[in-house]
Amino acid sequence: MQTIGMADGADDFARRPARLGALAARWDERLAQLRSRARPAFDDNSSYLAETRDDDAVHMVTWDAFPRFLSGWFAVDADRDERRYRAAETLKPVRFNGEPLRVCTAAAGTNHVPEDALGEPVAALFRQQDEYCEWRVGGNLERVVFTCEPPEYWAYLAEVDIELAVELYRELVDERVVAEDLVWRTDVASYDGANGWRVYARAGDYNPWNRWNTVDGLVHCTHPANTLAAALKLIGDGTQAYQGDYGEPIRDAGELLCRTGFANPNRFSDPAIAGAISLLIEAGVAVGAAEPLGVTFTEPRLTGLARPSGDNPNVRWRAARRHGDAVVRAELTITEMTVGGAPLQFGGQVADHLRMRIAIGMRPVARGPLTRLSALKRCCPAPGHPDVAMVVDRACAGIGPTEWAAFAPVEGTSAARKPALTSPRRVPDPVDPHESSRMLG
Amino acid sequence: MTPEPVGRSSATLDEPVLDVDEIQGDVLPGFNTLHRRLIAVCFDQRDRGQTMLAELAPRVATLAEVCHLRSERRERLAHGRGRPRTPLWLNLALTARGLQRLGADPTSVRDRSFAAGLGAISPTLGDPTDPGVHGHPSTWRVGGTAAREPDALLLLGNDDAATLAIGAERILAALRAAGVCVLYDETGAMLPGGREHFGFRDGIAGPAVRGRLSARPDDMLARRSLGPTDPRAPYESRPGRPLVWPGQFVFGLPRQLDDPVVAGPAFEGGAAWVRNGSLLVFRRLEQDVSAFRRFLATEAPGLPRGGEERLAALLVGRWPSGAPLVRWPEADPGEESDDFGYALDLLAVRCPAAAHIRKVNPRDLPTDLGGSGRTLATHVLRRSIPYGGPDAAERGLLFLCWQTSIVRQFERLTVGWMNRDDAPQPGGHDLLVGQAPVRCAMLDGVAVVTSERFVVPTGGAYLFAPSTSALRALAEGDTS
Repeated sequence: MQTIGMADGADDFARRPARLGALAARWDERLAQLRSRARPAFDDNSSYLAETRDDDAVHMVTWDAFPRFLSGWFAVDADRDERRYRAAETLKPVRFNGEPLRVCTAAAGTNHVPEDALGEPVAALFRQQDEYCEWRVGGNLERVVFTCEPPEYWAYLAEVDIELAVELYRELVDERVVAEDLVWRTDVASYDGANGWRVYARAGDYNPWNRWNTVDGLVHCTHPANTLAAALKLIGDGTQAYQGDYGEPIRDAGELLCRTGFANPNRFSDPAIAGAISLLIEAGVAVGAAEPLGVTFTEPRLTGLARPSGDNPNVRWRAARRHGDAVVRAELTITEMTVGGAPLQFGGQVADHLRMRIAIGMRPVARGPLTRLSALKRCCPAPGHPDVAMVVDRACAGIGPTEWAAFAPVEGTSAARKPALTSPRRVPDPVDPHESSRMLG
Repeated sequence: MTPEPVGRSSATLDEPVLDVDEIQGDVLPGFNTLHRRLIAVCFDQRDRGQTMLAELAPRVATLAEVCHLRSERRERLAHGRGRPRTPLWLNLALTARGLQRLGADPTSVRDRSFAAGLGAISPTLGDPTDPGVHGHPSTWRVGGTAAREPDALLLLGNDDAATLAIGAERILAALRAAGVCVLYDETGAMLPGGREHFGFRDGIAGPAVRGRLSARPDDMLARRSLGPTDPRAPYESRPGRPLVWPGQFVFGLPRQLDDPVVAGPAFEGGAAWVRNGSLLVFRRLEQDVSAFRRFLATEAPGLPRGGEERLAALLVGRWPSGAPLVRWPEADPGEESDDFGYALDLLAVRCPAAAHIRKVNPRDLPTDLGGSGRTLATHVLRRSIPYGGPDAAERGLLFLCWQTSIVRQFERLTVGWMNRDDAPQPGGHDLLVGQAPVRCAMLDGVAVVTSERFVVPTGGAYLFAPSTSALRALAEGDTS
């Protein structure tokens, strides 16, 4: 198992030499559990590999890093680029079934939370960047930090060694980080729809939406869809074969996701991964996640960045953290830049040029004809935004305005950053990008 | 009540009626003539530009005119008669600077690359970035620098070289009379067999554009050869030719969504004069045939099977005849085909992932954009023609393509796919046409690397071709 750590080779677990073996082994167990849980519900075709071997062939799937959902939502607008870039840098309140997390006083030994045990809503925000790539801009657009690290890894670090997590946070974000900042101060509950309120986290559990990873910094992914579990589950669910109305194989990834809803057709990542896996299964192989496990950055292609004079600058793309040989955190230092001829004003303009990737391990299997399931969901285009759709198993007319409102992105109101293009000068810090979306109690 | 369809919607197709007298004829359906002449001009001042437009706008060939003669040509060719004589066809497109000089706001076209101009975008396209190096905009014959940036590009076409030459002289005389200077003037001609200078049959593939020429339900712009019960009929005009909504090529018309058969809303915004117009990418691409042949001779022995012809086919994705490698991976069957896909070759055993035609048109494969349906929105309408004779010292391709988004179409194909080694699928760069200092591709299991450019940009521009009424309005100074 390749470990994660600083680009100079100092991986995280090695900071605790006395416990290195135990830390790594326990993380391996977590990963094995995630991979096992990713097996599809109907694995009739034995197409899923919960473990891959070094001698398995590997197919890389790549996809665009800028959220396709935002590009699609604003596609109809005349100023679509600025609106999608702003939205990408605007935090959105965390919701479970339409409700915020709430403080609760839950009894030990039970996950159910009665209504009278609920307290105030809890502020939790996430980045509207759902291609397994998240970024945050340093105040004057002099630095953009990108990450694809999953929250599960950091939750593990905090669980097994909170001081290690604090140490890393201080190095990556701010020296003022303390342990209390990284954990929930109370028990919190989430709304589970018909099942009512349930304990989401206990006091002292790691809080992936802590301030140093959201409003005041970036360490790992915050979007609910950008988890390692989601990526692995997508691979697993992707091994299930489906058929259309006449028994024909469904090969197009968009059609597949509209019918099944096992992944999100509005992203780049999900259709790219699901599409590749469906073709691999047809080709007679079983697949599973390969090393490096999870999503990583491809080598950046930043020829689009240029000085106003047109010459290519010495772009400093620093790999800050690696997962084995793959980059999972990078920092781009920029001044007086243009991107594709336009002034650099948003981190999203750089994200447009990035690609993410995941490794799929493959192994030939002997099997008969694929068992295919039917799938009867449908894609309902968002009113006024036909480039994005909600996948439902009911009539589109049954989707109400509240649902569509929750589906929509939060738009940003922050001012575009305007670095000087003629001479270096400081520009004012932008308006707090989460101001308009901070969750109200 | 009809139940809602599962999966995606399959709404009844109602293809729009095109403004056949407004859309310039090289956009749709395309001149497709044996000869073309490109004349780049500079008018500097608004009144000269208006005079030029007033003179030329009435002569611009429309979709209606070109379609009418296309029908006649098909009829004659089907009966073994030669191509009919045609009048000189003229189309006209303006750069952002040209629009500005006419008093129009180029940002109304809402394409940031068009507004920036090809010279500013050149580094993004992977062109050489050292001034003075062959291929850097400072070395271009047209475009790329302020001094050589045209205000407009005239596209002339005719099947007869003499007719083209005579017609061009009349136009040049009109330009001189208007005080308009000519920056660049070059003629291209189809090579025997429809090949390009590297020896490959070109122009085989391309999208069919949805839309009707009249209110008659069956009066389609793109002829349909698949029967109504063929399951591919809603998606293809003929086997292998995908149908794409016209808004991908003409402003103001329905565009492509993820669902191939659903018409998306036209992109809104912008001035009225943008409607029925289209964006043109012009790249004068010099082809270093000698370097290409040396590369083949040097690298072919290192591949496990086949010789230079096979290596060339691996780079292109087709044999010289136009036969796709994915269908005939062992030898050239001698016949071109457009009826193929790559879904059964995801792992690129039969055709390299880096092959040129697979790079720019991954067909039924998923890509870094997602499902194969999204590839439809990347298509462009190619109208390229070779320049320079078969053995000329200087020869290449006058690359021309139409679209409504240079950023999401042309630049996706070039910057996003050809110039990357990991997109649309991992497997290497487009070694043949890709622009990058060092390019690498997996061919027959061998990593082949080169820093030599076989295709070098030597001119070009990003332009906008207004509708015929917009040309008249601009001629009259109406830029609202």
